[in-house]
Amino acid sequence: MPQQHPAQVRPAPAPPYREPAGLLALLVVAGFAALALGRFWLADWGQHHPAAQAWVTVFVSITLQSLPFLLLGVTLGAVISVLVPARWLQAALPRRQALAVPVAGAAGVVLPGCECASVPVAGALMRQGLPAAPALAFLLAAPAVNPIVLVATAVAFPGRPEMMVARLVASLLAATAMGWLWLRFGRPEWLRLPSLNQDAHQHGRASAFAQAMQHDLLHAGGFLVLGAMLAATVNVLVPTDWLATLGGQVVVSVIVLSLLAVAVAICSEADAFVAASFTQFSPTAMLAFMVVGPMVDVKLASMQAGTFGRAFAARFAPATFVVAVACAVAIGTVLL
Amino acid sequence: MRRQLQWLVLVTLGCVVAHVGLTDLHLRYVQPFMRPALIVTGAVLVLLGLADLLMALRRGHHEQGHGAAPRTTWLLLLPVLCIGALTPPALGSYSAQRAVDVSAVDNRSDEEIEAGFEALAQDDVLELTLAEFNERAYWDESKSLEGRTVRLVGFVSRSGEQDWELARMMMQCCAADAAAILVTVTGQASPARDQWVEVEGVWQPDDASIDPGSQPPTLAATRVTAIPAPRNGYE
Repeated sequence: MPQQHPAQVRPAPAPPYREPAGLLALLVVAGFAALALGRFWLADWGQHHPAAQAWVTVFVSITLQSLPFLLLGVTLGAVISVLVPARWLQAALPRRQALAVPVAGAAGVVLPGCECASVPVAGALMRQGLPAAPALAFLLAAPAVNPIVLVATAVAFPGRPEMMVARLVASLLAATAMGWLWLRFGRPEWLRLPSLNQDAHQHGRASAFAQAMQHDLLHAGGFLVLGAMLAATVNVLVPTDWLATLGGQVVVSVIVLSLLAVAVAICSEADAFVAASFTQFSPTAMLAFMVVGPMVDVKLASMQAGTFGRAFAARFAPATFVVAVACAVAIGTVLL
Repeated sequence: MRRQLQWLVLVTLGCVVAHVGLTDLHLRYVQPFMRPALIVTGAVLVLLGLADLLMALRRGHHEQGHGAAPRTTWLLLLPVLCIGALTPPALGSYSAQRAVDVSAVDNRSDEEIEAGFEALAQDDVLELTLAEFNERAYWDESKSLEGRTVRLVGFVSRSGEQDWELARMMMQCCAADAAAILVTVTGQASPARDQWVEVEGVWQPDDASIDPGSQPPTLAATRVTAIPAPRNGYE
């Protein structure tokens, strides 16, 4: 949010930095007062509002579970932004972008985090001059094909290693397809990468590193909370035991589980166990749940809107959904 | 968001995340293995906030709009308020009634099915988790539970006249992916919903459904004791 400050309109010497001490003190005091009053008044609120209480628990859980991964992604992003020269990245990938897309997708294997980590990393890659198409393929593939997620998938489906293979193949295929689609139809003006503070370099590397982290964290963090709010709402309002009754029909089951994956925004490390518990659904529907979830869900789309702009997220997320479902159905038909 | 308030948001959020990690609070929301990650995250957030304050003071002038965070950044204070003022408990009966009963899913590998179940201890009263109890009730062909007195600990997820339900929640990563494990209890009066209890009783094989998941296994209770909630409510 730009500040309405005289220094903005006229490049006069900037006024001395002054912490708005009164405002700060007021905020801190008001915060503590609100907490104390809240604890007093709301001591047994949960007994009367079990759904609201479950919402708060789930919302806090998603936020706490995601923050360390966001921080991991932000740290890696800062390493890329500050320490890795742009020419290294370009040298690491094939020069032809059509080839660079699948290579970048496969490189997602090295990022052992869930989707919260991949957004800031992809943003940093683009900022360092990596073309958008391979960076987006990396963004989509990384949460789905890393070793932790693949092992979790194998554990969740004992005796059915084809589920893990199908997940790996379908996710790489969908990520590559999205990269190629971006090459063919994507427009640079849809992407709005918030630039880092340019004068950061005057203050040395440590300061530039801290600023890069803080910048990415603040741009994605609020949207992460927004996504967690949406996911918690679905989690509390949609009873999963009721969903099980929809598993009978082939087409409906794929659509239901794909939409559920978007709405509940479960970590990619955990989604295989959730998918495995939908025993009434077809294996292809379970695969769709696991391919769609790490690529497009409310938390991820919200963070994409925060990091790459709303115009981008509004086009990219629905396209990813269609491509991911199509890839899951195709691979599920062949392999499962 | 005002540039000058960014550091305050980061420091506040960091303190709360570290507090959750350092106390037993984290057991209500995430798996125990996330504890170090929460503590480190809290510490890094606080350091980032302090670094921001330091840089702003040293630079000695306002950032001119550039680098200011979007308005959504204020939302980072919402989890702070939720944890500070409401301190939500671990998931209880509301979620247990609406979640999938995960114990009805057979996720044993072929080797485990081949090997069968290990012999139970010869104690007079067997202490089992709800997951262990249900696994044997559903899948053990040797019916090792038959005639054994078991002791289960859980909360009341559904009260009722004839029978009631004992539950534990189970999570993979965080409470958002939690599933339930349910046991039907008969023979003793139902405590209030969400009350934690220790139940002693004997498995009723006749009532155990042939189709897992359609109905939880049944425990004919001989003794029900109300207990305080355990440190970690999840199984």
